[in-house]
Amino acid sequence: MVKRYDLLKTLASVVTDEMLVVTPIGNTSVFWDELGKGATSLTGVSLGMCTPVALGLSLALPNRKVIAVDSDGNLILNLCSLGTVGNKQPRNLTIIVCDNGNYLSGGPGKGKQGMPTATAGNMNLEAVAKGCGITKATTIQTEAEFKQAVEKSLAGEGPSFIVAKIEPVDVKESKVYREERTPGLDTRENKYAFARHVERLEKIRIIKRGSA
Amino acid sequence: MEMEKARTVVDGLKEAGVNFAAGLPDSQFHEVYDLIASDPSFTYVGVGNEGEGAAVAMGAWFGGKKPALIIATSGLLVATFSLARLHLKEVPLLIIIPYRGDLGDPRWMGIYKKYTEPMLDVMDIPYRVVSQPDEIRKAIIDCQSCTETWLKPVAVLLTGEALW
Repeated sequence: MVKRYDLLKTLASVVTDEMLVVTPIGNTSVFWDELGKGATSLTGVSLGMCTPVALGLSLALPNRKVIAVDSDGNLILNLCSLGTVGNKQPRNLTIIVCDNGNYLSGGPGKGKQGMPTATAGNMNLEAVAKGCGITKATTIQTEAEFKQAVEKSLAGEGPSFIVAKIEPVDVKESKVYREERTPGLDTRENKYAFARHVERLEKIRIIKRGSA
Repeated sequence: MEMEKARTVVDGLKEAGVNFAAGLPDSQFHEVYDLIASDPSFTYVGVGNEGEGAAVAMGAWFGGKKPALIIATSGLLVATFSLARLHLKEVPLLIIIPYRGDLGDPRWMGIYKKYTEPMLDVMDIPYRVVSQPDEIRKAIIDCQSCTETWLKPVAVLLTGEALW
């Protein structure tokens, strides 16, 4: 089992600013921001929306690598999005699921885990993805396996799906992370930062001049 | 619905610059989905629920597309959480709804008339109710222009009188 922060640190070492990353609410976005990736990623994408937002982005920009760093509870809320990904087969999309087996965001904090998600029971997300037609699906248990799976996915054609089994509670440097959370980017601030980043990369205009 | 009216809707979307659509079909609007899915001017994504559709459309907007969410009246209730998040982030989205529940459509009035417009009001989603076929095109173009400028979702409700 991997720590969420260590997993994201590994991912940050592989992902370039030419790639577009979408992260959900909770510690994944907080850590990703801390790792210096917040302003070039779309963060805090809420319940059930992370994978479908990444899908829309990947279809709009088929020549650019797009990575969703989803989580088990978040993905299960909109599980049908895997069927949509399986049918659209975006070659540039990688979906990573930080699977801690519990609803940590709704948990009691202070090092205690929340109520279990379905993956703590019988649900196998890799099998679900494969059943949806995402044939390049795998489950990893260690950092080394994770790095190898991500590098393979980014070097090849997707869609690919990586379930990363992470520790149930986020502990960083022996401390429970929820108690030390930093503010990070405001959601609209992040929107502008990310949209401007895509505009620069793609040499396009996303936000209409003179809007709002 | 009549194919001519379906074409009016699709032509309005094209004229408004819409080039991406996410949707979950409404049986009364089938011809519109058919036309969009087979038209290379659009990337069409059929989704499993309307909240997923709003999220796919949001991603497409960040990729430079001009998306529309095309859903049944009932789908608005399903999409509300995602739409609220789009609103919070101030992301534009044109929502097209064949509106069941208008006066003259008594079969569906109970649930849809009761919730649709109040829900849009509560969510601060501006909308236009279109009741005549010759208003369809302009309403779509106007609402697309507004969603882009105001950076918030805007809806077009096409009533049975306009469509059927």
